[in-house]
Amino acid sequence: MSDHTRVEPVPGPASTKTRVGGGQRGPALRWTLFIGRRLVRLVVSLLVLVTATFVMVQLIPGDPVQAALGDQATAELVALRRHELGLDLPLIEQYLRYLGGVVTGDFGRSIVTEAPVADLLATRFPNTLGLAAPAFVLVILIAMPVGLLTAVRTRGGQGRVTRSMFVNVTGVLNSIPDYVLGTLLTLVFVVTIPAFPAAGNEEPAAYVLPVLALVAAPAASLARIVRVEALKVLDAEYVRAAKARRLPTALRYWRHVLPNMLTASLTYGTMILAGLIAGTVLVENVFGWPGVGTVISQSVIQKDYPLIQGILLVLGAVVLILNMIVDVVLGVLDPRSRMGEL
Amino acid sequence: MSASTNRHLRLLLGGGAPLLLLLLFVFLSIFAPTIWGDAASASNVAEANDGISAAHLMGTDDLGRDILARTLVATRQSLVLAVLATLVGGCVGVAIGLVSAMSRRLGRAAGALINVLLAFPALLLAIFFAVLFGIGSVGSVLAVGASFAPGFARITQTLTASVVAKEYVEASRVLGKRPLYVTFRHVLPNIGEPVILYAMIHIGTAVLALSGLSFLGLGVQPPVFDWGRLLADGLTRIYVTPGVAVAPAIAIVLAGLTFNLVGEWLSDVVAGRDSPSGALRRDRIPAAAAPAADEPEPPAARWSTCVTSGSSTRRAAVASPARSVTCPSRCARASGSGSSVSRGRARARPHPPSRS
Repeated sequence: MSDHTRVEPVPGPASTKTRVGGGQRGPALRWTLFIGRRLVRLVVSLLVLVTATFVMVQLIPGDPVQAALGDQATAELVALRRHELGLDLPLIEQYLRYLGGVVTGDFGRSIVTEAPVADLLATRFPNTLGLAAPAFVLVILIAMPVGLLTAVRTRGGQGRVTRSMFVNVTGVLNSIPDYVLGTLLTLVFVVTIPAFPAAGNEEPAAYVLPVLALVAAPAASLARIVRVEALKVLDAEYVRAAKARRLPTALRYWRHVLPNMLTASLTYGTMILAGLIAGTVLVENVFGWPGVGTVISQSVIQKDYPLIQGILLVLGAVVLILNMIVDVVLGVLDPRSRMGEL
Repeated sequence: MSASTNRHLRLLLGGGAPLLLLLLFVFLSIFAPTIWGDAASASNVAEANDGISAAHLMGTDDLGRDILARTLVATRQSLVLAVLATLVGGCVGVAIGLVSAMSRRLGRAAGALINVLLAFPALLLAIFFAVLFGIGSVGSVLAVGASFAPGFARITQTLTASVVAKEYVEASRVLGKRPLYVTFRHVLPNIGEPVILYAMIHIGTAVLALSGLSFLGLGVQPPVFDWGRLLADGLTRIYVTPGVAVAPAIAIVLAGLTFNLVGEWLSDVVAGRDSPSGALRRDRIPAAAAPAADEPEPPAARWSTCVTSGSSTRRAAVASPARSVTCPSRCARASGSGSSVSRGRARARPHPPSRS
C-alpha cells in the first residue's frame, strides 16, 4: 500500500521538467530565490498601490479640501486646513510624508470627522475580514466537492442530465450579483419569515445571510472551473495508469486527481477571494454590516479623501498579500508553477 | 452534410430563449420611455409608499410613482450605460494591449501594469476610478470602463502576440509597411472576433457593475434613475412595504443572465462554425503574405525563424549555425528597404554582440 504511493512522488508530467530549470543550484537557494522574487514583486505592487492612491487625490479636478468643506467655507479656513493636512508642501515632500505615514500605520485624519483613519480601520476592518473569510472557506468547501463529483459523474460524455442541471444551476447562480441576492434574502428570511436578524453582527445568526449572499455566485463559478479541470485530469494517462495499478479509488482521487486539479482551481480561487473582499463592500451595505464597506460609499460621496485612501490601501494590500501567499503555496504544491523562474 | 445542418439548427435554436430575452431588453430600452415614461414620472402623493396592489403591481415609491413602470423605463439607462462602459473599456484596453504587443519597450511596462491591475477585483478598481472621475452617470461609465480595461488589454495582448508571430505580419513589415498599417490591416481584423465576443459577455458584467455602483450611491444621481438606484430605494423601505425591491432585482438578474447566455451561445456558435468559411476569411486577410507562402518549404522555414523575434533568433543561432549564416543576409535585404523594423532586425542578428 505505502510503496504504491511512493512509486511516483509527484504524480503527473512534472517530475521530468523540474530538473531542466533547476540547473546547478541547490534546493534551499532555489527556494530563497523563489520567495525573494515574490517578495520583491509584492513590495513593488504595494508601492504602485500607495502611489496610485496618492496620485488619485492629486488628479481629482478642483480642490479636494474646498470640495470636502463645502462651498461656504472661507478662504482662510480652507488655507488653514490645507496647511494642517500638509497640502501646501511641495508634491515630492507630500508624497514622501504620505509614504512614511502609510509605512508607520498613520493614514491621516478624516476630513469630515477628524478622527484618525487608522483607528477606524482597526475597528472596522476585522468585521469585513470576519465576513470574507468564512465566505471563502465555504466557497472552497462547496465548490471543490461539487465540481469534482459532477466531473466524475459526467466524464466521457455520460450523465447528460447531471451535466445540464449543473451547468444551468451554476449559470443562474453565477448571474445573480451578491447585493441583489442579499436584498432578496432579506426579503424572504428577514421580512417575510423573521428567521434572521436584519442588521449588525452581534449574534452568530447574523452571519448567515450575508455569508450566503457572498458565497452563491463565486461557489457556482469555482465549481464550474473545478469540474473542467477535474475532467482534464481524469482523462490524463497517469490517472488511467493508477487505475491499471489497481490503486483504491479513494487513494487515486486523493493522490493523483486532487493535487493536479488544484493549480488552476487555486489560482482562480485567489481571484474569488479578492472578489469576495470587494464584494463585501456591497453586501455590507445591504445588511448594515459594521465593516469598511459601509464607510467607503459614504466617504466617496462626502469626498473624505484620507478615509477613501486608507480603505482602498487596506483592501488593495490584502488582495496583493493574498496573491503572494497563494503564489507561494502553489509553488509548494505544484512544482510546475515555479518552473519559469527557477 | 445533414448532420452538420442539424447541428447548426440546434445551435441556432439553442440561442432561442436568450435571444428572445435580448430582443425584449432591446425593445424595452427603445420603447419603454415613450410607453411608460409618463407613468414613471407622474407623482401621486396620495399613493406614495404603497406596497403591492392591483393598481401598482410592484408598489409605488416615495412620490407615488409606479415602480414597475420605473423599472421598465430604467432599462434604457441601465443598458445604454452598460454598453458605453464596455465600449470605453474595450477601446482603452485594446489600445493598451496592441501597444504592449507591438512595441517591445512599451510592452514590458504596459504588461507589468496590466499584471498589477488584474490582481485587483473590478469593484475595487471601479470605486477607485469613481473617486477619480466623480460621481454620476459619466463618472460611473468611465469608472466601470476603466475597471474593464486591464482584462481587455490582457486578452488583446495574448491574441496579438500570436498574430504578430505569423508570417504574413512579418512579410508585411518586411515589405516596408508602417507599424500602424500592419496593426490595422493585419492584426486588428485577426483578433477582432474573440475580442468582440469578450465584449459581448462583458456587457452583462457591466450591467451588474453599474447597478452595483448606483446601489452604493456612486452611480447615476437623481432625477436620473437606473435599476441599482431603484433597488437601493427599495431596500431602504423593505420593512415597510416588502416587495418594492423585487422588480429592479428581477430586472438586474434577468439582464445579467441574458447577456451571459447570449455570450455563451455566441461562443458556441463561433466554436462550432464550419471551418471552410472560417478558413476562407483567414485566407483573405494575409494577402500580403502570398510571396512568403509561395517560397519552397526549407527556405520559408529558415526565413520565418529569422524574422520572428530577437530571442527566438538567438536560440535558433545556438541550435544550428547553418541557419544563422543565411539569416542575416535576408534580414539585411529587409532592412535595406528602409522600414522602421530594420532596427529590430539589426538587433536580432546573432553575430554582432550588441546586446541591448
